[in-house]
Amino acid sequence: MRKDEKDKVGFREVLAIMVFTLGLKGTDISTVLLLREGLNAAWMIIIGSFLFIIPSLLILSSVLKKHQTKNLLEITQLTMGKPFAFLIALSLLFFTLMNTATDSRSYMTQLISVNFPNTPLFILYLCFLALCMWVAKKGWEAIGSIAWAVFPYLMIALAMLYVLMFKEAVFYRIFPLFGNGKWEIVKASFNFSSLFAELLAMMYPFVKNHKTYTRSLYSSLLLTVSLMALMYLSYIWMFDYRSVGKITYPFNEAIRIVSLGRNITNIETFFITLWLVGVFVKFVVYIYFVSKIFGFLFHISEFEHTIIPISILILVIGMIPENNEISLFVIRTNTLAYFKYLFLFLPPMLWVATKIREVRAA
Amino acid sequence: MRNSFFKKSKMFTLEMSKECLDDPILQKGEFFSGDISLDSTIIKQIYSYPTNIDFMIRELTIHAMEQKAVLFYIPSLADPKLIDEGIIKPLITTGNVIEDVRSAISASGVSEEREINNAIKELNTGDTLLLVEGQAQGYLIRTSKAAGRNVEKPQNETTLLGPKESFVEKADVNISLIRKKIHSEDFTVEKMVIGERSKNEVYIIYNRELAGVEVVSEVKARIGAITKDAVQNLSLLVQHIEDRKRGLLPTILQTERPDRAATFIEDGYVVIAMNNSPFALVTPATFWSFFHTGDDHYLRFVYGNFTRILRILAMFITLFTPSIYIAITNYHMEMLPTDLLLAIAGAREMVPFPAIIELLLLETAFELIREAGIRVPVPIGPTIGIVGALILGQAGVEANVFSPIVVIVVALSGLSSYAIGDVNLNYSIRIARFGFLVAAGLFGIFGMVSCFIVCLAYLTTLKSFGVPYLAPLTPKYKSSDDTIFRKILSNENLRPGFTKTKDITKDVIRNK
Amino acid sequence: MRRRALPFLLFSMVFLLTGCWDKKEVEERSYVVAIGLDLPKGVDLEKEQAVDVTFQFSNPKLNVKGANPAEGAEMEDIITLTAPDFVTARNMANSFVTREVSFSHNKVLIISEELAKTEIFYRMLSTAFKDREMRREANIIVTEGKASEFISKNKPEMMVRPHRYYQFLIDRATETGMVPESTINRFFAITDGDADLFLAMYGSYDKNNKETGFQDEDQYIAGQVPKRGGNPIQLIGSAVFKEGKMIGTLTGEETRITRFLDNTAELRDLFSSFQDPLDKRYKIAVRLKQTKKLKVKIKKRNGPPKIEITYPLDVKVLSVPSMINYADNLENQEKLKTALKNKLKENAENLIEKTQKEFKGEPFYWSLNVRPLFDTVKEYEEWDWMNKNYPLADIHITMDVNIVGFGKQLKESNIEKVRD
Repeated sequence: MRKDEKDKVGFREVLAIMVFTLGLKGTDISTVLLLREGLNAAWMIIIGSFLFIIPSLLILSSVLKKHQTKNLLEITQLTMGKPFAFLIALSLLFFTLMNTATDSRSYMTQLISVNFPNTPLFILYLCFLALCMWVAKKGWEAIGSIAWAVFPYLMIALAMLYVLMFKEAVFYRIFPLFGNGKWEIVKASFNFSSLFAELLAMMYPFVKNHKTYTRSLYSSLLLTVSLMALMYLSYIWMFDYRSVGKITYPFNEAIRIVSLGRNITNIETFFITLWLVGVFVKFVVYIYFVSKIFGFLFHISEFEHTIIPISILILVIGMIPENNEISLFVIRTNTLAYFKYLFLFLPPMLWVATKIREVRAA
Repeated sequence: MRNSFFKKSKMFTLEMSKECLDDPILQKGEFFSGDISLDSTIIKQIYSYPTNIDFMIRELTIHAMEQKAVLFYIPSLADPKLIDEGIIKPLITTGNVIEDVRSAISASGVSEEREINNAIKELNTGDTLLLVEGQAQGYLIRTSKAAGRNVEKPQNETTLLGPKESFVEKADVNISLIRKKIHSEDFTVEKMVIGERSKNEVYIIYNRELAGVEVVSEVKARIGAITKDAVQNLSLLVQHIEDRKRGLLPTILQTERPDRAATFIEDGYVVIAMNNSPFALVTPATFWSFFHTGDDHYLRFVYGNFTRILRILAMFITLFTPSIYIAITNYHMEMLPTDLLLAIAGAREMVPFPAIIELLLLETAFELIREAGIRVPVPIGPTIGIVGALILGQAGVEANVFSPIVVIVVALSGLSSYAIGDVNLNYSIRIARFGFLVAAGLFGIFGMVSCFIVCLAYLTTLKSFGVPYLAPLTPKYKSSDDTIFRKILSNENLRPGFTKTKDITKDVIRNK
Repeated sequence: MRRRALPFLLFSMVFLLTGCWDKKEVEERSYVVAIGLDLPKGVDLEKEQAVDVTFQFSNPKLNVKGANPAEGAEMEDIITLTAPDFVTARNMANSFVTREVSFSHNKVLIISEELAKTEIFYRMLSTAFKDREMRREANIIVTEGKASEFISKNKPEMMVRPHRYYQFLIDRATETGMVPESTINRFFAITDGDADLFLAMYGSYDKNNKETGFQDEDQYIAGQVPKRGGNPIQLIGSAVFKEGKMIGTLTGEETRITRFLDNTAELRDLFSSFQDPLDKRYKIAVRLKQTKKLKVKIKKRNGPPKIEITYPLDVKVLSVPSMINYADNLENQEKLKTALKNKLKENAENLIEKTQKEFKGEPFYWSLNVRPLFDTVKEYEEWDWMNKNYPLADIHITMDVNIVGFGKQLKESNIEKVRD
């Protein structure tokens, strides 16, 4: 009867966090990349890249099951030795840091170009990161709780948005079904397979137990992938594939078009509000992860103290690119391209290493 | 008059302290000697009799025992009628031989005490001390009856269908009001005395078989840790034992309804009562316990949930309407329907201030009127306040100082705030509203969302006696999920798990 | 505590002193509800980019106690200026408009036919949408004469505020099907898709010299509707755009048929009149409604494709001035049905032929039905529906007409008996 003593993050919280961190990718500027690659089959790329990452997820899950209480980097250290783990952690840190910096910058640019055209980026960015930092310092349970507390409302709003978008949709615009061609979709799916890379970093949280972890992992992945695919489909349905390619922020444009009946026509601010809530949660999680990896790398057990310097670092890196398009087309494309290998091949390697150790021990 | 009073009190304290210092008899752990004259001298000295008029000594002779006896009591706390009828009369008039003094007294509560200090403690609460010649002990007879009012209707937490009685300023009455709803031998009342000087009694009430051990011991520890020499009542006690003393939100529930207190005890919470406080404290308290009212469960499922929707709506309106108005008119005016936008713009044409200043001014005015309304000594105070606000708004609009829409916004948020029943939550939401207002003025919707996230982070990290503030919403606990909505009663068969209750199910008794 | 409070204080001081970049009170802006675009006079477009921009503002009436409300209403709130494009015209306008010009409540984009027929129009429009305040759900109206005159001649009778006027006009006109739905979003989707024709609302103002005499109620295009009095503005028929350039017009009737033949268009109901098959002098008024979807079957062949169309319509007979009994005489009903079928089919075929021959493209958005035939975008775009296939396609229409009712009065009164 008194099992619920540990205040660890449970199923609902992990679900909410994962859906926020991943699902928001369907609304940011990375949609431009995917819609460019996939045209009206961009939604298939989402599903395809999900399929690509599944095997390594399954393997990872089995590896994690063997080492119940340890996180990914600790397992790497245990099975493959310290230098290798250091290398992995370093590259992971680099990736997450770059990712967080460019992503947060791009979200802020998105907000500025649509809603706050005169506000200086630096000020808005500073406020945003300062707040994220403050929340991240509250710790993992607080993050989980916040995510879950707002999750139902965001989902309701999202459902509402879908219904409204369907009113504007022309469903035949989904055709020709395969966009640029089947092989192109497979290639693009492989290229974008690190879309779901955050999941690997998700190994860190102190989820209650392995069962909760796998359950939340799979259900949130399924939910996110379907939500994202539907989002991309809605863009296609509303704008058609040639027209959507010209829009920088399809999400913002979509929420501008939808209307509640005739008199309440401009409801984008309502959706922007909820979207912003999601964005806050997303980057709180990101910053927390980066500092966690940093803490592992340099053996800082009280890694919460590194959150402040890391946030400043993110701010500095985020401010470097001249405009958002550079960060999108140069930095993000490259990081995505190289680091997908890490996410695809690390789990199998770990599995093999674990097996080898087992055989040796036997 | 005042002068003489001061003098008197000065003299009094001076005299007393001198005596205290000088007298070698007054030491801790002194026992009754059995010699009445000696003992009464000591007691007289302690109470600085006869300077102190609020102290009575009644000497008498018990003929049946052929012994002298003396009664001590404080007339302002003790019931003279009871002393007369229950103690003096039987002792004097009885014809039989008295062997045991206890059997000769017809008062209800009698106990023996050997130590003078302990006897004095009880004397201070209104008990009567009886000393009989030759017995090295005093009899403490329960005669306390402080002046107070009767059980009346609740003032703050009114309900439509609930019981119409509320706590009064006497702890024993309050305990009996709770107790009469729970007929169980597990119902436990513990007494703690705090305040070195004023010796205030605190009653900790809980169900032994339900309340979590951690919470009970935490409550006791926190009360025990109070070093203040006087804690007059619960309103002050709360501020000594609550979690975040500078925080915005209340972490201990104050309720004036015995039925709510009883319900909380049955759910495994711990209730604290005290003399001089017409309410009880409930620990641990979550956000939901402030949000709920007694009526939620007394009304039928549908109606109860309807009132809850209304209340959460009122909360959101109070908190967000002014800031949404600012955010939309100053930053996101594409959100407004064109007609409304033009109406607002037309009304604002002659207004001299920016919207944010306008709103802040009017909000402050409304709060001032509200505060003044509480201080107006008659119950119509709040009504006058509202009328005053409306007249002020009307005149302000006529003079083009405010635009009418701002008056609407302020009136809406102000009136909605009255729907938030709990006084503490009401204050915190009204204060938080200004935070949102400023944030919206600075950054529009972005500012509001930032402020919202801050509030949420604060809420999720806040704990009341070790219980997360938003439980059982997040983190999840086994419970009946009585948060924004409630279930139908037959489905509410779990006690809230976050109180660490010993028996979580409400149907069959498991732990006996 | 003090250590923590200091940075917080500094932080908030900074914002309180410098914040509010985007802050703008509502009364500090002027709200454009209609933008008109014209070709400028005396500017050579080959050498220089320029356009005449007309803004119609919806200004709030002064709502002040004691002030005379009638005075505020007579404000001149239509301005025209020549600018490189209409986004920069916003700032130019501020040389005489005192408040910031805001597009966020813009409802319509009114374009003169003259401008719509030039190639520069599409360039101008598509780049204008980089501006954050431009909304894709605004409607395009093409006017026969100058857009600035269309706006200034507009004297709505009841409605004082122009945005309401445009809102109601567009809503009602699209409901009756006389004009197409022409949001900018649709314009971009169709133009970028490069497979169909886009239809925009066609409007005109009275010149009183173009009346072509009496015709059926929907045979007019804007400016020709015979009427006396009322607002000089008319909105009927549609302007046809091909690849971002206007190439012709459709009458109100043709627009209605187009909308029946287009599955993405929504029509509520429309009244129409047909010749009575049994007494040619009279006309039967009917209500047309499409409850089923149009079926378009396209067969890819080596030559031009074969297209089979099933065209469903529900007909409700509203008035029969010839007093012939159609309601319970099944034979008559059958005759009426056949006549309606033939008439509707003929109309549709005429329109399709017109589009094939004259426009060399279809405004029905049938490219959507072509798309499922292809797997990839590349194949589909190479096949080139609009230019290579549609004009030559072999199109068959199968009518599916149902007479669903005869109104709330079953029979007409017997004229012979009445006369008696």
